[in-house]
Amino acid sequence: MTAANEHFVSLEKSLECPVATVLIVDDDPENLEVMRTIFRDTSCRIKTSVSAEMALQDIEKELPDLMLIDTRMPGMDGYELCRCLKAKERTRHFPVLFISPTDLPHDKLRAFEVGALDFITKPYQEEELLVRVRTHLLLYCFYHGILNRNVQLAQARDVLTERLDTLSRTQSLLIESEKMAAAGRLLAGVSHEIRNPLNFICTLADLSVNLLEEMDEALSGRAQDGPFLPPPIDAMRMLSHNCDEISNNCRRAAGVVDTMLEHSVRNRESVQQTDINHVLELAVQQTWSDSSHVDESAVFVELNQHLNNDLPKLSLNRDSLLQVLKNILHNAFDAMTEKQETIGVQYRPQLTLSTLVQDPWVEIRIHDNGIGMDSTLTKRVFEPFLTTKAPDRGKGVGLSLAYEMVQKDLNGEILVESESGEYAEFVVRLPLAEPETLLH
Amino acid sequence: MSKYLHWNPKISLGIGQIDLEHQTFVEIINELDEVRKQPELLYRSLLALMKYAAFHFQSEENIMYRIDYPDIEHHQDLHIRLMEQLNNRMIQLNRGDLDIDQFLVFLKKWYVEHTTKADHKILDYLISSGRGVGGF
Repeated sequence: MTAANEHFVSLEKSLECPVATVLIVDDDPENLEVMRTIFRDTSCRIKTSVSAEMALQDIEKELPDLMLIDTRMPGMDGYELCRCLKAKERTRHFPVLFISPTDLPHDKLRAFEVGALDFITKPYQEEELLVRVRTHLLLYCFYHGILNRNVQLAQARDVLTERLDTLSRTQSLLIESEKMAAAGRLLAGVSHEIRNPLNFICTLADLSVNLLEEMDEALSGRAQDGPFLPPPIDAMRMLSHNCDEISNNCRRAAGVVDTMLEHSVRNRESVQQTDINHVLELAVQQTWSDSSHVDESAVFVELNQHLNNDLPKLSLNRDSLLQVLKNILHNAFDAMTEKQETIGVQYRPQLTLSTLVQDPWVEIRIHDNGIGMDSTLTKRVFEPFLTTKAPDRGKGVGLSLAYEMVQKDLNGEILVESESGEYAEFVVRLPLAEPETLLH
Repeated sequence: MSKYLHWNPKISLGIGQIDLEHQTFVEIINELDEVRKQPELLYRSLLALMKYAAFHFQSEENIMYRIDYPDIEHHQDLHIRLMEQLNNRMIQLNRGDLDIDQFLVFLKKWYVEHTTKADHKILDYLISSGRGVGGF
């Protein structure tokens, strides 16, 4: 017994089993006494009851860790007692072992049917009883450990879920603020574009006013001396030219306003038949005006276009597509700017735009020969807040925003291929099928 | 060497099978007495005692069943009690809470009590029911 005892003690220690309370139910007091003595050398705390009814009362006050029940008792027998215990949430978890004076198979089956975990027949040997009880106590302790672990895991999971929610909300907020910043950049770019023509208009108008004054003086013969006065014909030609220029600049400004209106007035959620090539061109224009405002030493980019003129019109959220393409183009311009800063004047920046049909997609490919990315960066390029740029140049959500918009708003895919120092090619895929059919 | 327990013909029931088993029981008890100082043999004899008791009770119950003994259930309960008592005493003997002499005293009393009282009632029944004792 010593070796077995040592084995149990070490297992009990490693599972950190507390002192177990064993409740023994038997109508014969002598049986109870003998079983008590059997457990004398263990650390178990023994309680006894002479009837099932009394055992139930005792359990009301204190739950045992294991019960040993005699199957044959007057009044409620062991099977009935077990059934009672297993029927209630509070009492159904601890192990129940039966001790039976009969070893009929039918009795054993019945025992397991009512939920007992073990069946010891009389006459039994002391060691057998001890080993079985301790084994079940260990199992119960283990089971408890698992239950506790599950509770802890559930709590940890709840905490993590909450944190994830917070992170997710923060990300959304940041993406929103980036969208607003993008709008701000657009506005700044547009304002600059309008200020230019307005400046010209002002200057031309002032010049014209001066000319008219001079003409007036000349015609009224008031000017005797002073600077050289142009003959009236020349003056009128100059005036005419000024007016033309004023017109042109007005048109130019109006064009810029139209661009801005196109961008913001439309309902952002609207899905409409869209000419992809047109949106791509618009994106290039707008990105160019944004960039040239930001950096006056903007690169001169050679633009190659391979646009499929037979592209079908797609029914999608046009504003989302525009934003996506602008974000990619913005990235491309930055990449080319960076390469120019590294290499210098020998570098010829080239941007190649292609649109094509690749069933089941329409593909838009934006290829720049800028600074490129290594494989690590390529894999992570759509992650939010990932930026290789200086803080004043970008917060790093542009591409992740583009990714989100392609996935969610456009039901498409976005891919990238790149070689560090050489190029980057972004591919936006848009489904040929109607978005509605994809949703259902 | 005198035997611990002697078979008393007076307690024979006249039921061949049962009497035979009772006699065997006496021999087992006597064997225990003989080997009391030899732990290994004692242990083995105790195992035999336990197994034979279990067998005998079953055998006796089978006969009671065959003869439609009315008191069979009560008698079965007695057998269960007997088995529990025997088991308890053996555990105590094993633990050293009881010595072999005390155990043998118990065993003798245990055996004699049951065979002279409870088992004898079977004979009374056979006679009173007019079944006669032959054939077993």
